[in-house]
Amino acid sequence: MDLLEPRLYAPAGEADFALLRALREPGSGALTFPPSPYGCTTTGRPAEALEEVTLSGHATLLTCIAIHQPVLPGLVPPVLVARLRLAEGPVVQGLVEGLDEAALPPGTPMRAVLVPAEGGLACRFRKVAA
Amino acid sequence: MNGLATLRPVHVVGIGLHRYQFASDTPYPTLGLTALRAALADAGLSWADIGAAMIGTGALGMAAGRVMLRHMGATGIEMVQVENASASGSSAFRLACLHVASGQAEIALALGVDKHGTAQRAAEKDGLPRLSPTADSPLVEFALLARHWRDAHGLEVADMARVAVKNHGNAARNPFAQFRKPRSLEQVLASAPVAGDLTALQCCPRGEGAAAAIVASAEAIARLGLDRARAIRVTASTACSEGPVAGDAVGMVEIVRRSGLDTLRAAGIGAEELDIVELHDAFSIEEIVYAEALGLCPPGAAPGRLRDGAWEIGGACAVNPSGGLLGMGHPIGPTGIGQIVEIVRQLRGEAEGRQQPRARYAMAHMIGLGAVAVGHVLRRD
Repeated sequence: MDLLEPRLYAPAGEADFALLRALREPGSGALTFPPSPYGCTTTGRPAEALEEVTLSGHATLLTCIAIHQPVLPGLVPPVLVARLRLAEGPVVQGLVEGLDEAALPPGTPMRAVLVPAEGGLACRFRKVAA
Repeated sequence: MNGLATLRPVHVVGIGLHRYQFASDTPYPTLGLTALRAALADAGLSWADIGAAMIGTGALGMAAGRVMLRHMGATGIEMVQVENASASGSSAFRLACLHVASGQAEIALALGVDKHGTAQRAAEKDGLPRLSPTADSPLVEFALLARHWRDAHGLEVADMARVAVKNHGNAARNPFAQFRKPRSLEQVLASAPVAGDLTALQCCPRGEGAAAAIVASAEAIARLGLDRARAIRVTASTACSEGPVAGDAVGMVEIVRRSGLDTLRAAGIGAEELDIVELHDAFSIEEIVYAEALGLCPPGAAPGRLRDGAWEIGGACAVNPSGGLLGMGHPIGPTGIGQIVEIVRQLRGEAEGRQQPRARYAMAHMIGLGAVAVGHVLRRD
């Protein structure tokens, strides 16, 4: 199955785990995620000056909620969405596997995974052991 | 200096509204011209007196102002259409104030008008992929913020619901509000769950409507013999966009904190002097976090203020006496100007049925997509 968004993620080569793609500004180390052809969102340097890097896919859950209504196209409720801090620093929103919100308190270790969705492989986050 | 202090005084001399309402077949010129004619009548001015017009709208499309205002007669004035997300109307009002304060015009109009239309967010067209389809959704963003505030600050679900109870109650007393029914705490909590802890009655409605405010210089007021006693001074106007955020701070809260401080500093007052605040409560959690960020109470004290009635009409500072975005509605283009209309009505002592007693200072504060902020302070002299 093809990746739904190969600009953002790639297989980690271990089970169904995923790596995330980002850009790094060499001088400051500032990361831009999602990777952007328009430049570094911290320093403003053009994309040509940035280097492509992969992020581990490891993250810490900051907050998780359930979406109860069909408020966005293509998002079928109920579904869990979380704010997560990636191990390398950026804070992102991601969809979370499962529906057990109570099992996902702040601080829960998470990892990006690739799951079948919409005819391809999409990125979700899964609770993992610390 | 991001204010008005070094420029000449600006006063609001006329206000008008078309009631906020659910989507209808009413054409937008009907909405906008109703508010405009009401503002002209309120000021005792004619269309020919207006020197510049700033049109706040988010969804109508190109040149909506000209299409609408040609029905007032062609007078050759400058017209500018302003789109700044939820802060479109606030930004139009700020530009009108700056036109008068800087001497570009003696009298300027800020007119917000919108219908729930086909507007597409620019974020959906930037060509960048998103990890989650929720990444640009204000609803999801604020539902996550609400849960974070519960986890980190001990906020209770009922605390957020009290914002909706208060603001729906205020809207029930406002004949221009989209929602006109008081709601109990039980009704708010029992309404349909939408996202996280937010229920339907804690989310603002989309709709349509119009709001107009006319600002004038002191010279124009004197020359035209306008009623000086009903003119309300604009003492501060500031605007900013998101800046760097340190550590675990929340960007959309920090922008309100910085914008609020700038606005109060420009007005030369402290938050404790505010008698009225109209702020962006598109979702109930916002009133709690923004009121604290604006300095209306110490961090963590907002739930107590809601419980003890300090932010009710008649309390220490009436927060969203219009009903706010939750109760009065949030048609986008008009919303920020509608805040100004409510404040002027209150400061004049003309808010029949929902008057904040002895009100002298008021703040109108709006954000747009969590990334821009516009603040104004108005004063009864």
